[in-house]
Amino acid sequence: MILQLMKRDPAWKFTPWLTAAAVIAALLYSRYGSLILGATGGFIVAIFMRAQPHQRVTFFEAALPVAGRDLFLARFLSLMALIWLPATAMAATLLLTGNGAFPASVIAGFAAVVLTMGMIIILSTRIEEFAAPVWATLACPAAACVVLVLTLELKHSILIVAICGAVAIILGVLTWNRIPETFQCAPIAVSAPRKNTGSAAPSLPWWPIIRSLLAWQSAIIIPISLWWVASGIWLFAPMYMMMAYAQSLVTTRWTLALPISRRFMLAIALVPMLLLLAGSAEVGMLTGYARQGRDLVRLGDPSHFRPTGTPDVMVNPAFWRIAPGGRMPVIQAPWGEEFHPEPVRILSLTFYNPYATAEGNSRRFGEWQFARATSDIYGQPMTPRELAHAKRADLKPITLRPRMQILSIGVILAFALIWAWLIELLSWHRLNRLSATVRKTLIYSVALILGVTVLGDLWVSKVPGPVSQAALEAGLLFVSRHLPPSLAVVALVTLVPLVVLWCLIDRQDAASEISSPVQQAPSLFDRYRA
Amino acid sequence: MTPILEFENIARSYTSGVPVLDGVSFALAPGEVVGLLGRNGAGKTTLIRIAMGMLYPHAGAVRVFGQSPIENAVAVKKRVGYVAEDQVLPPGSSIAELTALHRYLFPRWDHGLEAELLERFALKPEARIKSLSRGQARQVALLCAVCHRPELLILDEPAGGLDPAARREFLETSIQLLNREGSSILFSSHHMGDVERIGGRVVLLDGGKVRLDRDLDRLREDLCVAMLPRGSAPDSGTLERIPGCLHARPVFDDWHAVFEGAPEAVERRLNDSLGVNGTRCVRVPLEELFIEMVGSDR
Repeated sequence: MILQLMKRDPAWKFTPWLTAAAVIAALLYSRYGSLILGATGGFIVAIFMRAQPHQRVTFFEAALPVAGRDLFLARFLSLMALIWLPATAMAATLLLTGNGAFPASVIAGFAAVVLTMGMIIILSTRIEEFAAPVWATLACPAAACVVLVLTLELKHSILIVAICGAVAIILGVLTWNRIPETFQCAPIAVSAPRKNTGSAAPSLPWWPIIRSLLAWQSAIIIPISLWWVASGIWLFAPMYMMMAYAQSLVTTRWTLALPISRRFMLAIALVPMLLLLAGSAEVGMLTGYARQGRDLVRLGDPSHFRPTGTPDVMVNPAFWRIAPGGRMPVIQAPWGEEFHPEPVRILSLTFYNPYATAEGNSRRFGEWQFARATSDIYGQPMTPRELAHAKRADLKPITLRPRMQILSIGVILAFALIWAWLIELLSWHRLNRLSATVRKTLIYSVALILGVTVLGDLWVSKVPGPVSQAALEAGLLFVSRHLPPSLAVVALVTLVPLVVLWCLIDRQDAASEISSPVQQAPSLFDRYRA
Repeated sequence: MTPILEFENIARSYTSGVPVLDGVSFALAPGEVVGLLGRNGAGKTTLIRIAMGMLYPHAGAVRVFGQSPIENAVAVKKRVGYVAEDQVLPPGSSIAELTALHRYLFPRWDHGLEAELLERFALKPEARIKSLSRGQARQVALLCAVCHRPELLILDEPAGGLDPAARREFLETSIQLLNREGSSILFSSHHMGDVERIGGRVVLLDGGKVRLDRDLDRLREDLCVAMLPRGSAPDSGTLERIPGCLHARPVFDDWHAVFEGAPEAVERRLNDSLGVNGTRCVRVPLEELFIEMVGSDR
């Protein structure tokens, strides 16, 4: 019976997904470190919120002839599976692959212990009722994250984790003894009257629509997206932002009955998001935050080429070159010293780092290559010391010059618009004529292709960072080189595809329809109301 | 006279091969009240959403005030009041904020009527939607739909989930208030009592088609149900081939068949056609008639 109850538990249903995500994160950990942990953390928070840990039972479950302890146990085990299976899978993968081995896998265990404590605190709150307060769903995992960060920063981390584990066990036992035979659907205590009133005289008639656009999910999605775009993650940030757009389509469905043009609704939903993306990207580029931790050019570890001690010159893949016809050129210094670049093949194209050095190259050759790289990237040949000094004096690489900033923002917005178009496409009335199986197959195929592309993008070995980001920057540099010097022309060239994409979305939006029952955005309380 | 709302051979399905609507045609004249009846899944909500331009018909055409509700959505919606079956209003907004938006969108907004309805429904303008009961939220939806005095009011299961008193008040407000002024009304309902109270015309949807379309008064006078022993006819088709038979279904040991005409005349017709005696023909209330028309075999 417990297993039957667990099978329909949302936490249990999400566990395989979270476990798979944890394994992928562990595999990518050595290459992307904190970046991948941050992305996984966002995913975990989203899953936890969907699993609704504050909920003990639904109306359906409470009506069953099942004892309260059995219902509680099914929920508890599902939530524990949601925490411990991914954590165990992550730790095991880290240990098996040797990716950061001991510390990283221990952190996964620490996180599981601290989250378990948070989860038990949620489950023990107002134990007589169907659900704990909804704020606990947000507060406890957030508090657990803070505890975890502090734990990792402090010296006696094992002691703190042990204390957390002990608290979880003691609280769990106390809670188990307090579980009622049947749960109550409303608080037992009578609460004081609450003020639940709004404005009687609104100054802005559009306020209900604006409020509908700002779904609570957006409060999580938008800041993460803005942080990503400011950090220079230009491909994924717009995709994430457009999740907020998809959410707004749901929360503003009630306006479909009103005489408001779809074009207008599209504009007020989409334009602020595009402006936020553009603004955040610009801030990231102006402050240099977009390049934080990702040097465009740097020296490799000198001990790598032990016989000569010549450091390798590593440049951002955006400055790599394509070998025409797959034939690798020979890089020759003015004094005749040569270097044969190592080929990297991606999708039948052969790339190489033209500034690298090989084991047999001299130190002089390494310095020459570094000077060439800085000349191409910063506009002047420099030594590593001169480059460090110039950076402190706010020297900007060519990727952050105004024309590249315009092009970059254009590309970010274009990606956002493409995602918005894809979202609109899902409601296309012609697509709804296809059978449900065909529609699902299409959607899953697209999702699968995207997933494989994203993983493949992150996975390509021998190239530091995602290939797509580098390819994008290389493409922009190519376009920039071929455009006239005038910034106005660059802006115009950037604007044209954006206008075309906007028109495409506008047209798609006009051809969309509701194919499911009109409903408001799924809220944290949905399961409670079921 | 140009119909206010006109459906012409509307077809629509969600799953291929399973049509929800299959050639639905009927029209609403100015000032007419039409009750859309049908079982769950009969396509009432789909038809209403097509009228509102929220769904594309797969075949056929819909015209509201002679215009396409998809191509002229804003112009059409300016003249239409709509309360959806599962009306969702923005939960974080107050009633005052919501009415302010409607006042802005509908220049013909009647402030007096708004105040009257707020008072009648005992709604506080500053109350947030999320703090209202389901019935109160529907009252707010109705208020928003009627206070701009629409030429066409579309109500999809308007009184669903309301208690009898609230339902009566809701219908009195929507139907009487607007129809007195000549507005046309299309409403869908499962409550035959509501349909009888509102009067007007009844359109019955079943199996994706219009099974019945006539005035309520004539419906009571023109139709009767004949009950005859199961052995008197081999199958329902035999009965349905008799002139005037609209539908026949087995009910335990009997056939129940809906016929056009007075009970005495139908009895005679059945005797002539099948040669059976002991047929009982009666006029039945609308609810019984609805069950006989769309009820399943037993």
